[in-house]
Amino acid sequence: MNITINPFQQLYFSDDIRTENNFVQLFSDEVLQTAIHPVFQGGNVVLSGTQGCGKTMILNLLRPEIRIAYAEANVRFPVNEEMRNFVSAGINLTRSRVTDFVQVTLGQGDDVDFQELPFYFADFFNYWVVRDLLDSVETIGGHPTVFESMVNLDRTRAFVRLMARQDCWFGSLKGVKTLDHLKQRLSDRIYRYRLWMNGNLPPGQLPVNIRITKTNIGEPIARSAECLWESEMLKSQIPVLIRVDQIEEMHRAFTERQRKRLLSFRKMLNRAFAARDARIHYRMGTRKYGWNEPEFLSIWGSEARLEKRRDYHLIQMDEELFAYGETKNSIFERFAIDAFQRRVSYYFRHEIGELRPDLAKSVFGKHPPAEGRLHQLTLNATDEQIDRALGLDLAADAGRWSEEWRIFLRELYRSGRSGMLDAVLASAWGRQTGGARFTRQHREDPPPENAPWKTRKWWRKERLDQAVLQLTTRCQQRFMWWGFHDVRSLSGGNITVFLHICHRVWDGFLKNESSLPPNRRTELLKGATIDRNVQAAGILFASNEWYKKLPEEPGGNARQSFAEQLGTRLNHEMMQDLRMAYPGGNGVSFPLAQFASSEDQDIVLLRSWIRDAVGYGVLFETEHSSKSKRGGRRIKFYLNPILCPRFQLPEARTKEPYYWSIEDLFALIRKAKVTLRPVQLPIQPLREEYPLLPGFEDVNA
Amino acid sequence: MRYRPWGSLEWVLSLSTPKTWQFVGVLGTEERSLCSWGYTRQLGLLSGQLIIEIQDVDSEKHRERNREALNDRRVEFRRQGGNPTAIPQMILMSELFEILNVAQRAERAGPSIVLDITSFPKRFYFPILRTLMNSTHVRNVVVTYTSAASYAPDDEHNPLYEDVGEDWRILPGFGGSSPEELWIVSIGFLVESLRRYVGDNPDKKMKILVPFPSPLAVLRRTWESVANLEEGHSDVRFEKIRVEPLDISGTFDRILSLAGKPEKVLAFAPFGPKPMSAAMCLYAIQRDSSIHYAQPTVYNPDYSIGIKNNNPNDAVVAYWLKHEGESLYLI
Repeated sequence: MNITINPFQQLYFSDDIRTENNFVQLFSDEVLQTAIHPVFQGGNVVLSGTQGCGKTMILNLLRPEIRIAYAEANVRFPVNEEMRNFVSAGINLTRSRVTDFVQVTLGQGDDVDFQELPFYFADFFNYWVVRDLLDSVETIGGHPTVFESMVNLDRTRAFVRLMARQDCWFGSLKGVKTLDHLKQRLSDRIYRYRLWMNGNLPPGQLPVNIRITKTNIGEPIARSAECLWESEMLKSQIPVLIRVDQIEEMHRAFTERQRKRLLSFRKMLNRAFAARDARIHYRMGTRKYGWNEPEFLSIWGSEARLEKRRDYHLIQMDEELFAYGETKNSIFERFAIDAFQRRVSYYFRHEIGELRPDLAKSVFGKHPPAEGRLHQLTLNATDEQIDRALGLDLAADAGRWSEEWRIFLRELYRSGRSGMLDAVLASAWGRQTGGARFTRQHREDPPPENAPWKTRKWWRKERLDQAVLQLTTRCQQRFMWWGFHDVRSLSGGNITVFLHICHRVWDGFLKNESSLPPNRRTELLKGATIDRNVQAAGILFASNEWYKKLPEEPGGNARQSFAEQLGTRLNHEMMQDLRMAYPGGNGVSFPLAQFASSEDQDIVLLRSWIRDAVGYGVLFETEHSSKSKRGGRRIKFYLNPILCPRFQLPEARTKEPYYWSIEDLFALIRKAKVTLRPVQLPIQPLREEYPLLPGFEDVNA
Repeated sequence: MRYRPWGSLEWVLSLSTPKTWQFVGVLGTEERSLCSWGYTRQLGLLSGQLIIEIQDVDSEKHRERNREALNDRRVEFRRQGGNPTAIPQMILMSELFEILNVAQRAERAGPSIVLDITSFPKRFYFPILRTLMNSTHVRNVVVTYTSAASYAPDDEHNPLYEDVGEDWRILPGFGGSSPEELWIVSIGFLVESLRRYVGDNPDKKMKILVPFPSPLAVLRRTWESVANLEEGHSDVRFEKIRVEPLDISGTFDRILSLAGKPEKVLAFAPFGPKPMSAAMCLYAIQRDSSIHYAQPTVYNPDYSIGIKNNNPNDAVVAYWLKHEGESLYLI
């Protein structure tokens, strides 16, 4: 096989809208199972998830260019025939720069700006989407072999006549006669707005014809749909789906003024969603933090908020793809295997033709049993080395081991890899008392013959990862991950993380192979497996790299610092927990009532920051019940599994996490130097009433 | 190619008939932020000044050190005859209309302006420079830039800047008017968001302007940035072009040649030294090119240390951009 190609080199394909052919080759319809029915049927749908979970890919599937690319590649469009007749148009809030309305002023003060700018935002939104809708309709009409008779371009003039007559435009389409003319009129309006946003119009001097013809959000889009049907340019039963992607863009503000403005734009947008207009259906894409605060759902001109199920159907992609802590994870597993297969096939199809099924599983191989992770440790250890490996002489352990126990544990350790594991588990068991009621530790009696660390199945299973961690670390080695199960598990249900790990492991594989003679090379495409050490090194590299990438996101330095503090602390505590009393200590849990409190402003800020960290995919959260009957509901947090190799934390969640108080969390936040409450220093502004420029004082005075 | 004077401030200003200047600059945390102002004042050429203080987004980590450093600068400003209480403050992430307000004030103070870009964030000095260059009232524009003695070490726990506040986006006011055909990127220490953009847009090819020659420590970090940017991407995506980091004129000419004939639509990503960014700005304001940037919101207060050779005559470089109403950087 070609050892210069890494099929995972390029992480993202979906964000570049000009790569339709790549899309056809690489899009995995497995992910569609999370969303297929809501997305291609009526009503508004929100796709929420962390970056790289597949939202944009699903939304892109609605674009006619993608459907055409499928037809041209002679590949079946992955939506069944009953659902594939629709027209879609959309706006990406980042790429369109619609939020640049925060940068302008009407020149009559903040109050007027707060009241008026949302209407300009709405107007821009309408013009943008309608222009895109016309482009889509033209594209569909120009490809009858793909879309059959869905669009009849012979009816264009009738459509344009109807459009120009609609009162929703307030006369701004007056005199428009042809489709090109109509599109030009829409583009001119957008161009005028661009001039304004770029600071090329004097403040307050927006052209009067724009000021008096602002449109109501959503209405021109719905009227356009009506006109398409009425003119018979579009078949009457064809639904119109409007994509609004990157809604989170509306919640990144640095001043109170920006926050208020953006929120008012969001409320205006919500007004369109709240209309539940049967003529159009919205498809919204957002990262979690764009949909996680109640105020983000409020509606312009109303006290009401968007209501789940009534106004929209919410699909939380991460939850759909990844069942937290569960071993059964079938959708994501199929998605990952399919994405892997498509990537490799895309790059190697000319070399090998048909690939083996489930190639990812053979490339990564089986994941190791716990004792398999100890392959790096030597069996021929001295007594001192074994005592150190088992932590028998740690100061924290108080040196309470009898000679009988020491000899027993050393022999057990030397009996093989399984014996090593048994020895470290036996030493943990020896330090336990058998329950909070008892004070006498098991090691105060001779080692038992029934080996409870082996026979108590659940006790043992829950502690295997912690045992491996303690043993490898004390032997100056690292906990290592390899095998398909490990890779899938570290991916945390995010396809981008999975591909990132694949990229780094494949890179390591290529480097290794390039030093080998051709006859000794590994035939991955024919069922061979990448060496476990190469995999482990690639996975660690990927983990470190992901950690280093955290600052690339807005506000990422603080989250990186927090992850560092949390990861280091959890690793330390799992290592110090000689009794293995908290084998689930790779996460932390808080009483839900305390965490969700609205009374304490500091907690509100803390919660908002932590939820942002969840939204950015640094933390994973889930609710759970307390282990004590009176404990009530709790909320627990884990680091994103991809960060676990960096911090040497087992990623599996097999037991209760550490129970922390909110104060513990505040302490960690302080240690990470996270700014929860920014201090705004007093500002001495430039003032109008200065007769001369402030600061332009006479320097010789 | 035309001659565009640049060099030591005193020499550059001596090339024209003597005149007095209004100074526009920033009082920042860095020692070099006031160097050009002090030097111009010392030469007896100032008739007035608009110094503003730009506040980063507050950070727990740097709050105290920031306060100390700003106080030090205010003391120094007073010591050199300025009045720190007359300095207006603005926040780094101010809206474009607020920044244009400053630009218009500066314009009205013409006809001769020294614009010191040393501590001016791009989101401020780009719109200001555009206003001054396009103004009929402003007849003379000289830009100054002060080199530091050294830069703070950049490491994982103490980076030079933090919290890129925004995703990669358009610099406010520089959205461009046409889809770009060619990317020109200047490289310095800040590449994280650029790296992400490169990863997200695999079909984009880029011309990378690499500041060279540079002091050894700067050079090492610059090439690290280039290596970080390129890592994991095909070599053919990037063409590296070495550009003298202080040479606005040379960078501008290089941009003109990269635009070619017929002229391609350029987009810029100014992540390199300020003078290189200024050259991009001078091109962009004439061709309505888009400028892309992700603004860090928190800078290490000790981003740079001292001034070059501890001598303003060595440290401050001046560039004549507009002379008696004629732009020297006309395309």
